[in-house]
Amino acid sequence: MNTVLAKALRDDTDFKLELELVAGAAGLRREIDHVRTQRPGLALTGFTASLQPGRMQVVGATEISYLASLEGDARRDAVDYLGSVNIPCLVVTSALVPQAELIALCERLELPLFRTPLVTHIFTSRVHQFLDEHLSPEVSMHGVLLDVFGVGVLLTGPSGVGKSECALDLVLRGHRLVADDVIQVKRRSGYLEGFSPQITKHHMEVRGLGIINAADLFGAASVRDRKRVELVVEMAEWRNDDQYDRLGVDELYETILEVGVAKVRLPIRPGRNVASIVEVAARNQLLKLRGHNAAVNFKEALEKRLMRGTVESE
Amino acid sequence: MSARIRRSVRVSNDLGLHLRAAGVLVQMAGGFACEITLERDGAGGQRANAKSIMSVLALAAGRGTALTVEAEGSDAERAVEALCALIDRGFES
Repeated sequence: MNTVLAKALRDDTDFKLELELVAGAAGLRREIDHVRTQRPGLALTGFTASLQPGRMQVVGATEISYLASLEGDARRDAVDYLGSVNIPCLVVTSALVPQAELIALCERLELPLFRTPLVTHIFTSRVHQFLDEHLSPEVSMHGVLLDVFGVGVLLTGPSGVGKSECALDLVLRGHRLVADDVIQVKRRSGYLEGFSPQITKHHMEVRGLGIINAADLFGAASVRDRKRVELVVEMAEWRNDDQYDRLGVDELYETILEVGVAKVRLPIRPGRNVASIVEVAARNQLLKLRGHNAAVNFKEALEKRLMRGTVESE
Repeated sequence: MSARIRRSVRVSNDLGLHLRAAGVLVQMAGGFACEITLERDGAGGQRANAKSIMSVLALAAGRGTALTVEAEGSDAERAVEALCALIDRGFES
């Protein structure tokens, strides 16, 4: 499982979390492994069963005003409940001032205590993006990722099958390159997002020409930085004994990071215009996403006709 | 016979795995029949297909980067030997 150090929260600038460290600097190497935050709420009353280890705790107005309503030992006890579970860090929102007891606990347990001027719902929404970015599973894949008519198409296949050449064809037709050869794929909630490693972004290699920059050659509209992966097109050398789909009624899927993505297998041979076929595959995928499946409709129309034929012959 | 060979090597030249160096490496890797992978050592070690220029460049392996060269196939032994030697001598041909 991926984890992110509490330190990364302090150092973050991308997600505008606006955190300052109040106490517990010695614990900055504690690990967060849960993609969602938690409000300690009832835990302050002693009901700690719901507190989850590894999960960031967001302390808002409810918690701070509850602590303010307690005095002396009662307040210290309430704070101590938080220390009974191995949580990675606490964040006080809305520029609220944490009580001295809370600060003392965090120093003693070496538990980072942060503070942000952001109100709770804004902080929570930003920090969830931060956690998604750091904790989502990621895999590196071989192929080319393009945006074809708005459909994220991942071309795969063995080296030398012509993926980059096909991608170049598609870019020349006005489609957009996301990543060539090395594609980082990240799982988001229920879908996959692909992007290029920073260093090779917008570049592609064309045998005989070397490395080219698609954004410079074809303009800013010919590239994009990230795209949802919606269709895998697997390119393979044409083999007469292999069975290619002749009907398109059964749907193929490729599973990437436990997410299923629609897939087509394209046999390649000289003279076959692969870019055109990929364009059609993307258009077909768009129709399917809108609930229109040409192959299935055709099958149903045919079956209806056959049924009628059966009745007439009786 | 298909053996899998792994060997560690450190990028020692000043510029690291720069563009020309990557070109030489990919050319050399392409001369072998086996599959060759470069892996950055350490947690979450990024992997690159040694026969693909974009893949090798995406590693962005600077001076001092520890890599593992891994090959699988009939000429894996020779491939690992040759690539490690190339990296060791700073990509000088």
